[in-house]
Amino acid sequence: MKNTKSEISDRESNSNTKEMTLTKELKVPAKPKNARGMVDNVLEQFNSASDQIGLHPNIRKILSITNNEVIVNFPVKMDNGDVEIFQGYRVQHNNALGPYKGGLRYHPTVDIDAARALAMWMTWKTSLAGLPYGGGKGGIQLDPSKYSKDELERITRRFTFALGDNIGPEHDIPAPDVNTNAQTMAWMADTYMSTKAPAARSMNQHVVTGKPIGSGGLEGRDRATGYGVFLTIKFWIEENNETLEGKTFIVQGFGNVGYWAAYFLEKEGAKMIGVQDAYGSIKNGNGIKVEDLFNYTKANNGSLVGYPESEAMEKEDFFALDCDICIPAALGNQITEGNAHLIKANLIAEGANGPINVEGEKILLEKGVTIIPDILCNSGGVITSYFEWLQNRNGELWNMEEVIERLDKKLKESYTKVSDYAKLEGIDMRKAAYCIAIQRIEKAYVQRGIFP
Amino acid sequence: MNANPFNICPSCAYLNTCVLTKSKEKVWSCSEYNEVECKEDIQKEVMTEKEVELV
Repeated sequence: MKNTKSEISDRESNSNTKEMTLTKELKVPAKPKNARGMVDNVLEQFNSASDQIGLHPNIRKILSITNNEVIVNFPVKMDNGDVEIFQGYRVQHNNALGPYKGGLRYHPTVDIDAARALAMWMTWKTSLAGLPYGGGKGGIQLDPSKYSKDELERITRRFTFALGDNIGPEHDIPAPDVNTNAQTMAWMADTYMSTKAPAARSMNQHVVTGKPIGSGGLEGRDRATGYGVFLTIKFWIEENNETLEGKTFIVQGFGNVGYWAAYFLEKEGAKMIGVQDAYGSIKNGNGIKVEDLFNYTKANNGSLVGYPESEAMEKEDFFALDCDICIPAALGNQITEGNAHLIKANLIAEGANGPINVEGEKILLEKGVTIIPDILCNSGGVITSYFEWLQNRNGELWNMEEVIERLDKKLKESYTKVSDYAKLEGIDMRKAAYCIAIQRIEKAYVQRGIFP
Repeated sequence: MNANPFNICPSCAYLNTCVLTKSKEKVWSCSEYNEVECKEDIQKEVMTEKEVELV
């Protein structure tokens, strides 16, 4: 286990922040020279927002690196009796506001560098959402397609055991991510709880979130992110004294986020006129019925290609469709300097993480397009993770109505803060979101100081 | 903190046919990512009992 900053963050006490001095070895991250990816964007946004708010240099140092980086190598017996050694990671970026929170992914390219930036990203996200959490990320370097379900279960359980008390319901709370799901979380919770004394087991169920509903999971978790995307769009529309009735929108990605966002928008009278998934792109100026398309994809191996009430279109033309609202809800780097000038929507809601790159964003902002940033727009997921954690911690069972009602309230608060700050400072919503997120952490450091 | 090569496209079922992006070298999150199925449970090799030879 490598501790990079734990000695600083874990021994916070009262002192004057203006006076604090941190080790000279702590460096601000160097700018990567390769093509911009999401990781680079996260770092650039952090530095840009830090400049905007005049973040204290010492706090900038603290936030530029991770608190703890845990690497575990652990053996697992395979179905054929052989033993394989796996390497797992858990990066804990910052816990000034509360326990580390973030996903665990199983993928051949997972490594400590990948986890670092994603953990940092989680710190901003949980802070902006006003949650009592910090940021973390981790995973295991493996290709799940090469293992049986039994093997994956043993790998997950042994990884949980290897992490030991580096995770915990009040310390670091993992969640599903790429190639991990509710089942993975159920195995983790069960393993973690089994390592505790019998009387303490049930009070540790909230060591992970994203569990199956029958095992401590939360009602409505499936639709939370998409519903949050819809809500932020609705808040913006209301703020501009308009309604969603008759508004047209396009959505890239018809998975959990895209589908549910479209579902709720349609319920409020908006019209979906274009959809793109991994298989193809379709359009219909008169509207595409969300539920009909969903049922069609279910019966068509998940693909929207050939949906009868639409016409196929070239993938390059998708973002140029004439509409009021554009929802990139699939993946990063979709709107770039190459296509930003083609966009006709006056609102872009980032359902995906990092769908607009820095150059594309510049063009859009110059055109007067409003962007609801990912860190705000798709935060419904992490907010409901917090609700699941609370539900388990308090020994409660929340119903769907309660979840939706509380999500409404929480997202409204976040949206209003970002919108007000953006107007007050004359900056775009993304920068405002980062500023608010970082300021909240800065405040915690200023109040508590740096121990000793 | 360094940039990294993390990329989920190579292990996605849609790698060769996906129309969502041409930049399949730096995708770290995607709603359309087709979760890789775990392999069929391998039939555990049946260990044949060795016959004990009485000498």
